[in-house]
Formats: sequence, structure tokens, C-alpha cells
Amino acid sequence: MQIKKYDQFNETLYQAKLANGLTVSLLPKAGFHKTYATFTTNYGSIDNTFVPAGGDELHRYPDGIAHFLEHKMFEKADHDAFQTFGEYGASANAFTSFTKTSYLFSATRRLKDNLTTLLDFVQDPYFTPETVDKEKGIIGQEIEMYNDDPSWRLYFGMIGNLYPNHPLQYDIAGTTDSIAKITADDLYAAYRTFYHPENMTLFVVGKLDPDEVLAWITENQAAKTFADFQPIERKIPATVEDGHDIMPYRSIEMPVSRAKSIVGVKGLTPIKAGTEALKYRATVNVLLEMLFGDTSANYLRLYDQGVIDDTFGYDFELQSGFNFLTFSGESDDPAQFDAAIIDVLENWHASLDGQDALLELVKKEMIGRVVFMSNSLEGIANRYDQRLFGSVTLFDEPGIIQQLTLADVAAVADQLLQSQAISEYQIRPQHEELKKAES
Amino acid sequence: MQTQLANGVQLTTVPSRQFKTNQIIVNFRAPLRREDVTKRALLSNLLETSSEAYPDQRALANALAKMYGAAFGAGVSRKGPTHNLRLALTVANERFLASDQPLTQQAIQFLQSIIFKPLGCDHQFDQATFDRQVLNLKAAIQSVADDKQYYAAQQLNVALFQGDPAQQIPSFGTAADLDDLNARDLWTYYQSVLADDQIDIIVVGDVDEQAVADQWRAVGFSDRLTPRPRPFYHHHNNQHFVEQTEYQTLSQAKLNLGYDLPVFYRGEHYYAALVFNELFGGSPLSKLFMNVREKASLAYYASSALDTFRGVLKVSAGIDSANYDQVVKIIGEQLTAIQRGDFSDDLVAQLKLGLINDFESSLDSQRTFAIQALIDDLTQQPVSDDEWLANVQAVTREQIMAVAKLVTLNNGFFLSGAQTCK
Repeated sequence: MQIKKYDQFNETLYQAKLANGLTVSLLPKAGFHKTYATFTTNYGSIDNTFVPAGGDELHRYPDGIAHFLEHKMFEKADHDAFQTFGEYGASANAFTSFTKTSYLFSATRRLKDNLTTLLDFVQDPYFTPETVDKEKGIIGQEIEMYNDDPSWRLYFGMIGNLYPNHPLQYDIAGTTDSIAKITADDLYAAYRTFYHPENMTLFVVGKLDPDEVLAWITENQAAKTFADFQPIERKIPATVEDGHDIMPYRSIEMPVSRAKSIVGVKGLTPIKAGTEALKYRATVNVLLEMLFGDTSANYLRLYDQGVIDDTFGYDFELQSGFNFLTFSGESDDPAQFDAAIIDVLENWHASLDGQDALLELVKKEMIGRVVFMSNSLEGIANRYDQRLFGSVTLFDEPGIIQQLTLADVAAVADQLLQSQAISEYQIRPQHEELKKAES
Repeated sequence: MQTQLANGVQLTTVPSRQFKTNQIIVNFRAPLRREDVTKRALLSNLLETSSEAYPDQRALANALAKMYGAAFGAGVSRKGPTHNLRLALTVANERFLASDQPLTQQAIQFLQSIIFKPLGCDHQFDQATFDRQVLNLKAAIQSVADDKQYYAAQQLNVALFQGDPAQQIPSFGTAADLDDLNARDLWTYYQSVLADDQIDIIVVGDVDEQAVADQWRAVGFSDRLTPRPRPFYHHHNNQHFVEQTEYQTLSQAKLNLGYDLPVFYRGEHYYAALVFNELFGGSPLSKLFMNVREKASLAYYASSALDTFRGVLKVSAGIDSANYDQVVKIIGEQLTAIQRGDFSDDLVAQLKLGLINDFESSLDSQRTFAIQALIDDLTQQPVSDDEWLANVQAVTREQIMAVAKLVTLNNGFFLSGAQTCK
């Protein structure tokens, strides 16, 4: 077991790689009542074309299959894993993102029973044509629910602009049509390909004794046999580096009371995994704070002009294989909103040059935020991403932030904020809704 | 440690080394009055974004950033017949920052300057800031209706509390009210908040309790001459199910049902009602989740929630419009099943474990300690962790059935996506 001490935070991370390939991370938190565990596979919604384990040809699977598989993992021949967690008083859940599927529980009691349940239900697939068909109704409702959510539509509208030829553009849950095509055999193929321990991580944080917990996990895993791990071949389109595939503008109408707008910037340069990726994310976050954060001159100017309001927000999404920025908000004049954001992005020099004092302030703020996040078991575990960052954790971030210089920030701005990578997407109120508001 | 700073002004410090941050909450509590709700929401926006020392958002944001990114927020909420205006500030504990900046002391100073020196002069709020925040709040209130789940829940609330506008409107007020407010009247109203509201100050973390108390004592709060607000809203409703349907363009229809359930926080039947709610629709093991979602595949969400400060129970489900009748029928059947005892003892034991898990888990959130201290001050019924656990464990199946029999379905609101007859 590897031990990494973070003296400033008074935290210790324990890590081990088991014989079957599973990476285990344990972080005890003194004084906490709860233990939170996530069991994650490097398999998400964008992995819809891959060579199934045992096969030798790329196959295209229906959109939404990773998420469908997540739903179906809970159901077994004679029980439901939710029920088993319930019997032990735990609360369980799962989520699928673009690149990962995570199964999790949190519990204040019976940690061994709950951990065993987590490992066992994720490592024991059971799909039949009947159970697969039944799930289509539930997931269909989930898709409909998101269809009515303007913020969700706005976000995926932008992704569709930035990635028109990439599986990112598809809703994580798929569509009613795509999930109708999913079969039990598809689920088994995806399961065998991506749920090998070598492609998975287990992160446990909170009330725990690391030696005891590692022994339980090791014993559980040693009792199971797995096929030899076959390196996974997935087809993910490479980023078009000159950005010519990006759709610069689209808009739709929805029953909303006020227009919503989103500006996106696609990262055209691939980011290398590891500590470098963590540094890149930290630098972009500093850059965003300096350009648009509430301590920036731009924020106050745009706020006082009424161009942005409290609905304004921005985000940097960095994942294995892609990265992009989004800026969104509600506005009575979405064209004005977009123009103001793009103006700041294209003239980033003006906002950065000579701003050493602002940089120091932003760094201070971001280091403080790491301390905030360290209170949250979920925050610590969910921020961990082995595929992208390697074994580093939240507690490695302050050291990286501390060393950032204005030149680092400018270099990233120069690389990321390219005019040809910028796109706009708007949701405008439906015509009859406008009339109703006016009358 | 509790310190009475004046009549109706109380400081509670909760020492804890579990967290790496310290949290300070200042809560102003008043009886819920229809005419004050929107004023208080606008006040919370003004206090959150400006003060004499920090006249614009950037100045305020800079002050927070200098305190290593302190998190500051203001908000309003309704609890039974009371309305709360709340300021919350969280700072890192400097021990984890390799810094000797006295962050907690600075945080309290910051809050005091926000509360006692708002941005304004000549007995009125700064006009430009006031106008901007009126616009922003109005836009925010209007946009809330875009969230269809929220909209349907709010329409149910209107139906349930007919005849009592203070209970019907959202806790953040209405857009129409904003047109009638002005910077001078709001200033005058804020003076009455400072003078008359019950004030609770809660400080949670690894702090010097004496120093914190001294710092707050220095403010010189005045005694409140107004009586303490009542904690519960009694609104017994015998009305039989009244349905209401509205059509909008949407993919998933929203079904919301409102029930009378006269059980109040930590009063008679309270712990049995907690278990009843878990059994009915409050957990993934519940009757609603199992029967509406899992067995019939009719919904993605189908759940129930208790409001033990107003004595109501609510059910909400996202469904296909065509399935309305079937879903309403299944929900009704689940309640009847509980009334006649159609549930296993094993399930009850699991539901209790789930409640206990939630309770113990909540002790890992700094906010829980602050919120609990506020509720204890409101209801004056503090219960120790051990008592709480014992009370939940002691609930019997007969008690759960008895609670189920107290439930009366009053109202249904259905936001339908299709113009078909249901």
C-alpha cells in the first residue's frame, strides 16, 4: 500500500493496485460519521463504438448504452441491489458522464456489508430481454424530463455546435429511439469490455480504517476470477485542430419566459493526461476568474450595464480526449450578451496585462476553496479521476495554484481562446408566450 | 454555548474540529406577513451585493477573496407561519492555509458591516443599486416558472392554502409586488427588521467561543419588544380531492398531490410520520417508488415529502399525460395499503435504518448544526441525538397505520403536456 501524507491538510491517502488490476484509494476522515464509496469504470456516453471483448472488429452500439447499463446493473435474478443497500441502511446511487460510470453508496454503519454489496453487484451482470425492455419506459421518462429542462437543452445545444461529428453531442441517456434498439446482448458486450477491474477504480473516503478496509476488498476480489485484461479499443474522433467543423451559431424556441444564451469555446489542442492536465485545469480556472469572476473589472461593468445578471455562469469541462469552455446566462438581448462575452474573450490581453495583484487575489481565493472542498466526502471522491489526472487528488491542487504566474495564464489564454473555436447557441421564448407576456 | 445578547437576540456557538472551515449564520425571523415577503426577498438581494464599505459587487467580491475566498450568501425561507431572512458566511480555518490572517474575526467584522451599514443615505437605499436589484429579482422570479417541476409544485401550494395569500405565494415574493416598492420605504422596513425580528447568530467550527461572544456583544443589540413568533401553521383541511389541470408545451407531465396531515415537528405522531413518509414515497424502498416507477414503469420520479411546520404531505411524479388516471389510482392504492397494514416488519426495520443513516450522515455537514440550532430556537423542543435515534426505533407498525389514517387528499394539480382528454 502506498501512503501519501498531506501535512498542511492533516490528511493521508492510501493507495494500492490489486492483483486483478483494480486501483483502490482510501482516505480516512477523522470525526466523520459517514463513509462514501465510489466504484468507477472508465466508460461513458462517448464510448459508443468499440471492439467488444473477445471480438476483433469495431462495432457501433446504440447511443445511451453506458447509461442504460448503469440502470440495469442494480437488477439481479432474485433481488435488487438498491434493496440490499436499503437492508443495511445505506443510500446508494449511480451516475454516467461523458467518460465515466460510477456506482456509489454512503453509509454510517455496516461498512463491510455495504462495500461487499457494492463490489458484488457491479461485478455480477444479469440482463434478460424482459428486464431490458421494462427499463425502456423508465429511461424514456428520464429523457423526457431532461427534454423539458431549458438549461440542459442549452448545454447540449452548445455541445452539438462544438462537436457535430463526435459522440459528445448525444444526450448521455440517448434518445427514445436509440434506447429502443438496446438488447441484453449489447449490455453484456459493453459490460465484458469495460467492467474489467483493470479499467476500474474504487475510492473510499470518510469513517474507515485503511488496513481493515483494504483487507476486506482484497479478500473479496481474490475470490473472483476475471478473464485476462484485453486493452480496450474505442473509436473516438480526434479533435479537428483548425476548428472548421464547429457550427458558429444556432437557436431554438422553447416555452421560456426569458431568452437563454450560451457561448462556447472548444479546446483545439489535446491536453496530456497526468499532473499536467491538473495544472492546465487550474490555470484555465484562474484565467476564467480573472476575465469574468466577480473580482474582475469585466464582471462589474457587464453587470452594471445589465448585460449579465445573477444567472451568469461559466464552466471549464476537461475530460480525457476533449475540453471546452461555456458561458451562459439569461438575457433580454441574447445577441448583446454573446457579443459582450466574445469581446472579452478575443481581447483577453486587455484583461490580463499587468494584473499581478488580481492574479494573487484569485489564487488566494482558489486555495481557500480547496479547504472548503476538503469538508465534503463526495467532493474529494468525485474530483478524483485516474484516467485524466493519474493518482493526484484535491490536496495536490494548492501547490499547483501557488506556483502559477501571469505568463502561465497568458500562455493558456493564447492557446485556448481562439476566434475560430467560438460558438453561440440561444433559446428564445416561443412566439405565443411572448404575446401572452405582453397582453 | 448560548449567549443572550438581548431579549430575542441569541448567539449559539457550536465548537467542532471536524471541519476545516468555520461557519457563521445570522438569521432574522418574523411572523409571516403577506405584505413583507417580497420586501424581505429584495432586502436579501441588496445585503448580498452591497454595503457602505463595499458599494459594488466587485468591492464586495474583493473583500471575500481577501479572506481566502470566503463564501457569502443571503436568502429567504418560509417555515410554517414564520419568514426567515438569513445571511451565511463560511471561511477556511487559517490553520490549513499556512497563514496567520485571523479569518473568523474578519468574517464577523464583515457580516456586521453588511448588516448595520447598508449602502444608502438620507434614510433610503442607494437608488441605482436598488433599481438594479429590483430588475434582477423580477427576472429571477419570472424565470422560476421555466422549471416545470417547481411551477407545478407552486400551483399546488396555491390550491392547498386557498384564503391565505401569505402561505400561497413563494417565500421570495412576487414580481408584481416589486413595482410598488421604493428605496425609502424599504429602508424604513429594514430598520424595523433590525429592531423587531428575532435574531439568531450561529457560529460552528474550531473557534474561540469567548472571543466570538465578545465581538458580537460589542454591537449592542436592543431588546426585542415583540413576542416570539409561533412555530406552527395550523390549517386543518377536510376538503375532498379537487383536481385542476393546466396544459403547456412540455414532454413530461407533472402530477402533484397535496394532503392534509396534521402532524407537527417533534409533536404527537412525529416519529411515526417520518417512518410513514419513508414507506409511502420518501425513499427508494417506498411504495410509490416500487409501484409507480419500478413495477409499472410509469415515472422517472415519484416521491412524497412532509412539511411538519404546516401539517401537509405532498406527492410529486413526472409521468406521461396519458397515464394520469392509472398513476392517481396507484398512488391512492399505496396509501390504502399502508392504512390496512399491508407492509412487512422487515421493510419498516430497513426504513428506520435509512432514516438513521440520513440523520447520522447529516452530522457530517457543518450547515446541519446551524440549521438545527435555528429550529431548536424556533420550536424550543431540543432533542439529543440518542433520544432521536431511540424515538425512531420505537415506532410500531400500528403507529404507522394510525398516521396513514390521518391523511386526507385535498388537492391535485396536473401540468399536462397533451391536449388529450385524461
